[in-house]
This record gives sequence, structure tokens and C-alpha cells, in this order.
Amino acid sequence: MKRWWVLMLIVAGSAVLMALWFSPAQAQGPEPESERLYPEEVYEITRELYCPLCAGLRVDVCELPVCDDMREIIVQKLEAGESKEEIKQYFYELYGPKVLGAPERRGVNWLVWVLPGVATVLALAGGVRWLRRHFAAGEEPEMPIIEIPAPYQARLERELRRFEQEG
Amino acid sequence: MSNIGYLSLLGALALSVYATLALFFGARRRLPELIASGRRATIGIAILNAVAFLALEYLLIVQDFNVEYVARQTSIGQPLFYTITGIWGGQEGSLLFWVLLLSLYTLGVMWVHRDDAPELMPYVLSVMNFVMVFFLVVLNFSAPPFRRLDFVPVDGQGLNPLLQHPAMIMHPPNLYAGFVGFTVPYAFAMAALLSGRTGATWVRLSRRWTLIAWMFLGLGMLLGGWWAYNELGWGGYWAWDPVENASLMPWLIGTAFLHSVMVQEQRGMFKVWNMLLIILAFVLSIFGTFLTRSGVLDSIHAFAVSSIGVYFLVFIAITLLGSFMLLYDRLPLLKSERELDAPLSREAAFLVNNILFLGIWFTVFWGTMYPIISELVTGRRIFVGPPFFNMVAGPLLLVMLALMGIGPLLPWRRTSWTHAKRHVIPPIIFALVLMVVLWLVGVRRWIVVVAYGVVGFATAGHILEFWRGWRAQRARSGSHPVAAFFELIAKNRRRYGGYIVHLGVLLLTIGVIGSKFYEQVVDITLAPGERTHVGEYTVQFLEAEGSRDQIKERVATPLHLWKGERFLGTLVPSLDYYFKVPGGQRETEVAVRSSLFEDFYVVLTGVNRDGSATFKIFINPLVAWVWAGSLLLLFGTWVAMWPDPREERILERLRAREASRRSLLGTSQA
Repeated sequence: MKRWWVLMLIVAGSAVLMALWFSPAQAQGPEPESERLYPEEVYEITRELYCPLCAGLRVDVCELPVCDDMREIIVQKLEAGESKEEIKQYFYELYGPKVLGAPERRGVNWLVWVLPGVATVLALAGGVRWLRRHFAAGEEPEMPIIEIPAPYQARLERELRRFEQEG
Repeated sequence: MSNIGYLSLLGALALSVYATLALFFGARRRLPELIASGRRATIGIAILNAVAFLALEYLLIVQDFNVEYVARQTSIGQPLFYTITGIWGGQEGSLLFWVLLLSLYTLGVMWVHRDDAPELMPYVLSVMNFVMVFFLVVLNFSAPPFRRLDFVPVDGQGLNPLLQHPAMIMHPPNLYAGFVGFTVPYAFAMAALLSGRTGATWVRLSRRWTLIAWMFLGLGMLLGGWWAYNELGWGGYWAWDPVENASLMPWLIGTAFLHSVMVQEQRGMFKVWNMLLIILAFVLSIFGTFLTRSGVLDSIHAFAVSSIGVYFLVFIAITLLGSFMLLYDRLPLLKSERELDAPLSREAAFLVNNILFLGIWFTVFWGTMYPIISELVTGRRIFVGPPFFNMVAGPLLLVMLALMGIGPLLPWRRTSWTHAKRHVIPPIIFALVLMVVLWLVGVRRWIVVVAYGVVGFATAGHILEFWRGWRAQRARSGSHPVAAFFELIAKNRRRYGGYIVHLGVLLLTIGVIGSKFYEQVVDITLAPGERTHVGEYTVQFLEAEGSRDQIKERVATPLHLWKGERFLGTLVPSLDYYFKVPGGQRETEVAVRSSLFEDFYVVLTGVNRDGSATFKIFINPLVAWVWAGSLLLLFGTWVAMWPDPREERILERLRAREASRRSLLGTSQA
């Protein structure tokens, strides 16, 4: 048991070291430089928008001219004082729901979002019900403690060793 | 040469029809001569398929542009390597490659199991040949690779430049090997139903084949991700693209199957369930090809343009209908040999595992199909992209990871809550400590903290399992500690191979979470000689350099890279323009500097008139963990697959039991 805790400590220690190494300090945003084409606020918006012409590419990583234009428009709108939500709404009206990367959560489109989760939960509930029907809930199976006499214990060890050696 | 290929494919089709029927009726009527003839025909099919494949390869190498496929896949000046491997770059060639692989699998099955289950094997080969008939029908009548043009073009179009990448060259063969590979366990399952031998024999005989298919599919996806990351220039490796999803779906169901067959092997339960899973895995592997080849993903109308989609749809319908009818007919033979002993047992954990895998699969399936369904119903295609998959499949994957941490801690049959708690509490404590530490060091996104907590829980559980096994092994054998560790794995390959696979999944998850939540992107324009800082890095643009060969023009923009004061090297992102492709095609060549903790990833987006260049720079944390985790996963599969003398002994016992049963039957019939 003691060695077991030593092992846990080693693993936890390694995890802490890893976590320290990969702390958000390592993941801070790039320093603002004059060569930057866009300020950080632009990326905050483009990270949440999708290219209207590609299959699932975010605007911040897309190279198509349409995404270049979108970035430029965002710069202008930010300078004009528009909020992130207003800008997103503008692109939504311009290009439709595809620009959000997924169907809106309204009307029949709710079905897209909830069906897989509901189906899985129902299936899990069915599985649990099936298990419960077979076994009284909370009933703990009896696990008798078996005392093995010494000669049998020795024989067991011998057999196991032989099994090991034979492969 | 094209005539030889054409005739070979026709001959192979005729032989595969014959082999299917000969093997089926040979087994049904117990006619050894007919079975032997069917086996010989199977060898003949493989030879003819190989001849057709080599013929097309020859036509590609000599660049006979009169053959339509050759004119499309190669061009003068295209490197020979890409000309040879370009055979699987297009539809007809990839289908030809598919039948060649199916032939290789069929020969492999025939050879490996030549002494196994004589009642089962003719049916297995018959089913595999039936699948072969379908693909040869498609090749002969819908996608003929040897079709000639009315004229001889001066030059070909050449392989799509995007596909001219080593990872992309290896990606399709692995993916196909995975897709085709699922034919083997499916054939064993159908053979078990046809022959009425629904015990554990088919599961044991096909287990390694399932692992091979699963491994290839995984490797195919890994290479696809690697290619996307290094070639497409958007800094990611997985985009929930329908084509990616098409390979993920059979892999997910295959994973569920690999878990649930253990219950059938160990406890004689879940027999119907396993049948359903392998039918689904096989159909999904065909469905994946249907999705990618029929054009249905572009538009429901593109589906009608190519006949190949109709062929696939009909085959899928026949397979589903036939398999389910057979399954329904044989339901009385598939009764569980035992009942579940307790709700807290490994069997019960596998049940939940399977439901979750099906849930994740359904999410992927639903998200992939919804655009098609919406277009079919409303006439308007509704796009379903990464936010949906991340939000809906993400939590299910997290629950699955948590279960992955619990499952191995539970014994077969039954356990007590006290016993379970003793095993589960230490990993929970570890996970909580990890979450607190992450919070303290400044990780403030709760989803990241929870996700890493779950990963920590599952990792600690697995390490403890290794620890307990290693301690017991040392006590038993008295070996050196290091030797005891390897002995432990060598003597329990399936179990510890599986645990290594789990650890691979956990490493991969660490990488996915890190790269998804902490990726940074920045666009920069630099004049020649100019330097700038990006995070801890300093980059200096040297000067744009142009070059030209027979198929493309290239602009390369070397960058010097430092991290702090340390010079890391020169990165050369570039832009290629393939002028032979109709309309021209611009491709980016990404430059990446990888380390264990983050990648510095540069894409050249353009060179300006004043000589300056614009770059998109990504700092992608922990991407190396994604690759390392995937490799560990593959290594674990390899360990679990490696021949095990104990398993051989079990198989021998099964063979002996079958033989004695046969001799008893023979005596009683006499």
C-alpha cells in the first residue's frame, strides 16, 4: 500500500511538472507588433466564424480572398465601434447560417443538436433499466473471503509458476 | 496492355461469381471437390486482379495518355514515385486497388485458416467472394479503369498537386486496407450464421483480422491528419469533414465490436449484439466509400450524375437486408450461454461502453448526414460543421474516457462496491489533485480543467493496473524489475496491448485538448531582412526565391527562427503554382518546427510587389502528443495482435472439440 502511494506521488509530481511547463504563460498571445496585419480582437471574432465557401474552415485560418475580405470588414467594423455580436450578426445576414459553422439552435434545427444526446441518454437509460431488472438495486453481491490452507496456497503458487514458464 | 487489364477484370468477375456459388453450395451440400474448386477459383481471381493492377501500373509508367485514367492521373514531368502511387489517386484506380486488397485478404484468410473450422471456412470465403463480385461489377460496368479516349492527348493533367505528398500517398492504401479488412470479420460472422456455428470460434478466428482492419483504419486516419496538418496549411489535423467522418464511423463501431466480442469470448454473451455491430462496421466501411465516391457530399444531384452511387446504395441495401434476415432466422442459435452476474462487473462496463460508442457514432453519422437529409427534405443544404461535432460528440467522448478509466479496474462477473471503491478512489484523488494544480498554475478554462482531470483519472487507473500486474509478476517470477515488466506484457498481450492502446488514446487526448484550446494564429507581413517577435520566437525573413520545373513554379521564402537567444534553424514556407492543372492550381507548402510542447507553423500566404511577404503563423501546442499518442495506439494494437501461445492453445482445444464432435457425428451417421 505504501509503495502504491509512492507511485501515485511520482505520477502526480510528473503531472504537476508537466502542468507547470505547459502553463498559460507558454500560451499567452503574441506580443503586438507593427508588422501584424490584424489586432487580437479580430482573431477573437474570426475564430468563431467559418468560411462561407469552404467545408468547415475557420475564417482565421482560411486563405481564400473571401476570408481576407471578412477580416478587413471586421477591422473596419471594430474601428466603427461595433460589438463582436453585431459583427457576427452582420456576416450571418450576409452569408447565412453556414458562417456560424453549424445550424442555429432554433426551430426544427434543434433536432440536429439534441437528437444524438437524447438518443444516447435514452439508450443508456435503457441499459441501466435492463441491468436493474436483472439485479435488485443496491444489492451487493456476496464476496466471501476464502481462507486457502497453506498446502493449497503453495500448490497454487507452483502451478502459476509452471504456467508462467510454459507461456 | 489495356486489353489485358480489361479482360482480366472480366475474367475475375466471372470467376468470383463461380467461386461464391461453388463455395456456398460446396459447404451446404458437403461436396469437398466443389469447395476445392472454389478455393482454386479464389486464387485465380487474385491472379487476375493482380494482372489488371499491374497492367494499369504499366500504362501509368509508360504514360499511355490514350487511356483516360492515365491522362487524368499523370503528366510529363510528374515524379515517377507519384506516377506509380497515383494509381490510387482516382476513382477507378482506387477501386482496382480495393479489389486487389480484398484478394490479398481472401488469400490470407484461406492460407492462415487452412486447417481451421472446415464447416465455417467455405462460407467465409464465399461471403468474401460475394463482396468481390460487387466491386468487380462496379469496376467492369461503372468505373472501368482501362477506358480509352477517342484521341491521344499530348500531355496528361497529372495527379492532383494536393495529393503529391508522402503521407497522402500512404493514406489511401491504409484506409482501404482498413475498410476492406472489415470484410473478414463480417464474412466470419455471416459464415457463423450460415453454418449455424455461432459459438466463440468465429470470434476467436476473426479477432486478429478485426484488429488488423482497425489498425489500418487508424493508421489511415493518422496519415490523413498528418497530411492535412503538413499540406493544407490551416494549422489543424481534423476538421470533422464528411470524408474524415466516413473513416471514423466504421472505426468507432469496430472499436465497440472489439470490446464487446471479449464478452462473447469470456462469457458467451452479447452474441446478437456482436453480429449487429460487425454488420454495421462492414456496411459503414462500404458506406464510407459510397459517401466519398458518389458525389452525394457535394450535392444530392451529383449523386444522380454518377451511376456508382446507385451501385453502392443497392449493395448496401442487399447487404443490410440479407444480413438482418439471416440474423433473424438464426436468432434461436444466438441465445446467451450465461446471464449477467452483477451490475458492477466488466461485462456491464462493456455494455455502457458499447452504448457510448454507438452514441458517438450516431452523433458523427447524424452530423454528416444532416446536410444531405435537409437537402432531400427541404431542398436547402444545411451545413453542419466543427462547432456541432465538438459540442455534441465532445462530452460523450469525455464520458467514454472516464469509463475507459473505470472498465479495466472492474473484474469479470462481479465485484463488490467496497472492492470497486478501493480501486477507483486513488485515481479520483489523483485527478482532483491534477485539476487543482492546473487551476493554480493558471488554467482557467473549466472545460480544459475537467477534460485533463478525466484524462488524469484514466491514466492513473491504467498506471495502477500496470503497477499491480508488475508487482504480481515480480513476486511470481522473481525476475529483474525491468524484465518483469516486459514479461508481464509478453504473457498478457491482449490485456496489456489494450491498456497501451488506452494510454495512446489518453496521450492523443492531451494533444487534442492543448492544440484545440491554446492554438494561436497571427498574420504578418515582413520586408526582406526584417525581424519580428511572435510569442517567445523571433523570425527573420531573408528573401523570396523563385524556381520552376516541368510541372510547377515555386516561390520560396526562407525564414530564420530563434526561440529566445537560441537559433532553431531555417524554415522555408513556399507557394507552388501547378500550371498543368486545368485552370492552374495554387498550393502552399507549410514549414513546421516541432517540439514536444508546441509547433511553430508557418504558411506563406503571398509575396507582394515590393518584395515583402505575408505569412500566417500558428503556434500549436502539444500537437506532437497527437502523433505520439496515435503511434502508441498503433503499437498497442500490434502488441495485442502479436501471436500468443496461450491463445493458440485455446484455438487448438476448440479445433479438437470440433474434430471430436465431427467424428462423433460421423460415427452416429455410420
